[in-house]
Amino acid sequence: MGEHAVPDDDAPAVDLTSCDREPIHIPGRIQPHGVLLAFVEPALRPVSVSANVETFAGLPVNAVLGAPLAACMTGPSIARLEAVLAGDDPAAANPIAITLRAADGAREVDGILHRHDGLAILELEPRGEDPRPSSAFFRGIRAAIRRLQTAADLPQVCAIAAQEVRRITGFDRVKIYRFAADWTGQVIAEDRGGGIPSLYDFHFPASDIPAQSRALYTVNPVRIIPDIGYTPAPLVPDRNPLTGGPIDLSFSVLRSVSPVHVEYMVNMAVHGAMSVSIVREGRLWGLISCHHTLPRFVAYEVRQACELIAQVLTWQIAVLEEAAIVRHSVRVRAVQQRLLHGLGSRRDVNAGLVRGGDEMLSLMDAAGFALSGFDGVTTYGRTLSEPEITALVGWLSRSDSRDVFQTDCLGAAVPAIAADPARVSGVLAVPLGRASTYYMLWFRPEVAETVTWGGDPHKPVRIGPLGERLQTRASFDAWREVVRGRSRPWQPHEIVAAIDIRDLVVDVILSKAEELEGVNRQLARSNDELESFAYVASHDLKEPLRHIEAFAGLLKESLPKDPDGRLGAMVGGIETSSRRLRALINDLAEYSRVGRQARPLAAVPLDEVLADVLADLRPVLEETGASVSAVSLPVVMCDRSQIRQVLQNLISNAVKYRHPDRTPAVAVRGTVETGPTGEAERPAGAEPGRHVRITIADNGIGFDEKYREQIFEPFQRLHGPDEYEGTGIGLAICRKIVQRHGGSISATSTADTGATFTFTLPMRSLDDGDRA
Amino acid sequence: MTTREAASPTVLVAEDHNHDKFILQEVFSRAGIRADLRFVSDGEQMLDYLYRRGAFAAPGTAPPPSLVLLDLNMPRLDGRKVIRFVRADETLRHLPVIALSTSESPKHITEAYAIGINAYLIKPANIPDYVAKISSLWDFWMSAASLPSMEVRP
Repeated sequence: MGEHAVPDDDAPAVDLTSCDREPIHIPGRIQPHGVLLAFVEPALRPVSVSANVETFAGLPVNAVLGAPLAACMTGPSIARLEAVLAGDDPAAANPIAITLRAADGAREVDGILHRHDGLAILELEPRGEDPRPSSAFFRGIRAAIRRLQTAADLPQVCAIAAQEVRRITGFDRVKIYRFAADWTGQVIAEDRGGGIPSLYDFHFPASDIPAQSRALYTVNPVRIIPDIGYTPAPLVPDRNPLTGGPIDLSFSVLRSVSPVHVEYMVNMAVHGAMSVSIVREGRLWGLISCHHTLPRFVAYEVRQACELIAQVLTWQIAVLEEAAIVRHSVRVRAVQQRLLHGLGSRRDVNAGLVRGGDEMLSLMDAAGFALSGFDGVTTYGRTLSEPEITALVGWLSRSDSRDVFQTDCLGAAVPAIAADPARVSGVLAVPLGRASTYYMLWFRPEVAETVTWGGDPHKPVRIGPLGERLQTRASFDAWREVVRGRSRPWQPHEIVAAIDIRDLVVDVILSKAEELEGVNRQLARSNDELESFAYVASHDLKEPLRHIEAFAGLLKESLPKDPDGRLGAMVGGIETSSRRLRALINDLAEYSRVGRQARPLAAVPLDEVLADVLADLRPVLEETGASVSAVSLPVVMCDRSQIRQVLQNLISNAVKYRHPDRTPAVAVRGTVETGPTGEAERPAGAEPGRHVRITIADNGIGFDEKYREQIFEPFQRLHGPDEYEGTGIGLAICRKIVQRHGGSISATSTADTGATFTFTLPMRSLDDGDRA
Repeated sequence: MTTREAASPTVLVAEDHNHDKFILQEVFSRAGIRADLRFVSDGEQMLDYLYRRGAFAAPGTAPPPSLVLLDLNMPRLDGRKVIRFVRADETLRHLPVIALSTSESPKHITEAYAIGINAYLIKPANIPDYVAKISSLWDFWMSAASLPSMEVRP
């Protein structure tokens, strides 16, 4: 008992792909409507002949094999053959007019010569009913080509090709069969006689035309099976004396058909068939497939005409597809120009893309668009949900390929994303760069398509009577299947367009980053310049000021008798103005120093800093009887002397602007909070969302809240210098220091009741000291 | 040894600003110091004075100073370089050189002592302060401190 029990009468996972293993190019047999002779040049004595040679030449195999050709064909025929073999391109001379010496007299045949695998292979076919194609025949071909060239689109050009091939060959049904990327086939055009059932729009599984058949179709474009009921003629011997192996019939016109294929055609009720390959850029694009209910032979020259039509059809397909691509790429460029314009005049790439969203969707024939990575996900139109996009991008960034990802069946490609296929089935994702989660994505909905199969492709095939080969399905009746979860596939030129748009967006982002960096540099430079200017200016201003003060001092001591004190008052005015100017200059210098003398941040316990400040302020605190309370001051990463200055300025302000009727009371409180700090930019090393909030509340005179912003501007004062001392730089310095630390400062007040100043400092990990 | 009571000692002042020259003279006068203040405007002139050359070649134009007051930031040859000259010359190196400056920067003060000044004096803006400073400076260098004799050289 094996572990793998297989049901007796069921063979799952077996299909006609078993045919892929059949060596169809070396069948050792030919179809008997012609005769095959193989030579090793230069000798024109056959090294192999088909067993049916007698029916053509009236001589048994033994009389032909190894014998001079003169035994079976006329001298002029041999001379023509020799001339062709001596030429550069023997195949170009086909068909060669050959006259056989048959028992019942001379017989005219077409000689079709090719060289392969070291052998010269001559195949003799009946010449057909017409002795030579007439000039009317060639006029017909020319007309066919002209009609093909007038076609406006792919369906039309294919329909014309089917009509013309049927007109020339007389088959019952001529269909244009197109391969999809997965090698399933579809009948995209058809021309048929009365009473012949239509196969138009029928799909056929890839296994119907297996890989090695497709390979032969690609290199040998015309294939004819005049009578499917034939008895094959073996090659005698089937041996290439040069290789010792069987004779390779890849390029033969008489090569015998695989028994599986014969069975297939019989099941289709076809007895005569021809196919002409449509090969585009080296790939088998499709076939012109001709069927006849009865046996039908088509002469070599007619087949050549069909090959010519197939060639013109191929060119027309290329021209039409390329024209469509060119039209599309013109649109892509126009959209790009408009996008570029939209993006260039806007800071925000997301907004720019969304603004051009409709146009981009129509360009990509998509229903939705998303941009992932810039502050999350931005979507436009019908897209996956944001969590689904995030999951998809996560999956993409984990996958090995950092390239464009595209699928028309998301459910099959990424089963982990259980999206509603009616909403999104097709996804095209283009990475923006190496940053792993930056993607542009386009989405297409499901196109619930009804596929008509030529027979049920899912029906398990039976082991047939032909040994290990499989039996083909017996019925080609239309079998309809509704395909779900698939979108229209992404075309190569659409993918190229998506990449173009990506490149444009990347350019815009890079140039924006550059621009922003430039502005930042310039700002930093002008800031530096301003600060050095303020510093130098304050220094240079001090010198004349010192002289003014000195002269005023000298003048004061040199005053003559001044009974009413007027001179003294004037000199005193000079002195007080000089002192005030000196104070302003010193504050300006100090303000400019905040940025210039930046020290690295260190872990500082704020309660220690407060103690230092209170020690400094002791005289004024004692004088005014002020009390200062402190609650839960944390340890923060900061520049100690600067934060000390902030606390000192705020507390001395609280005391300075005390209420005349109250003893000043100042409350300092620290809290650690989570949430936005109100600052757009988070400094390096800061923990997201966490910050320390320090409030300094007093019971002083307060201020009118309409000045709550103004008080932080340099040299803005709400009181005259005679009322309160000071230059109005203290709060400006506080704000500059707090901003330098990545925090913010604000004030609230109820006039006559008190003021509360609040500043925040970002919470940084304490071992992150040197990052500021 | 010189004292305040003897013939007015010479003070060489290297100062490029006329206001400062004026103010300094006033300060000396108000401090009641009888000193012979001689002014030079830059480092080159100061060296000319000390070596009695150029504009100071004529006899009597450059009496040897008892004290040098030096603005560190002078045009041309700057005060710092002059000090190096003075300290390198054995006939001059005993001269007390006092730096006069407006800078309160600790860095500037440290640098000045490092190149060999004897004292660093920040010019006050306030006249009474200035007078007090110059008085105590004078008292220290002209009476309190014992300086090497001009005649006894190492």
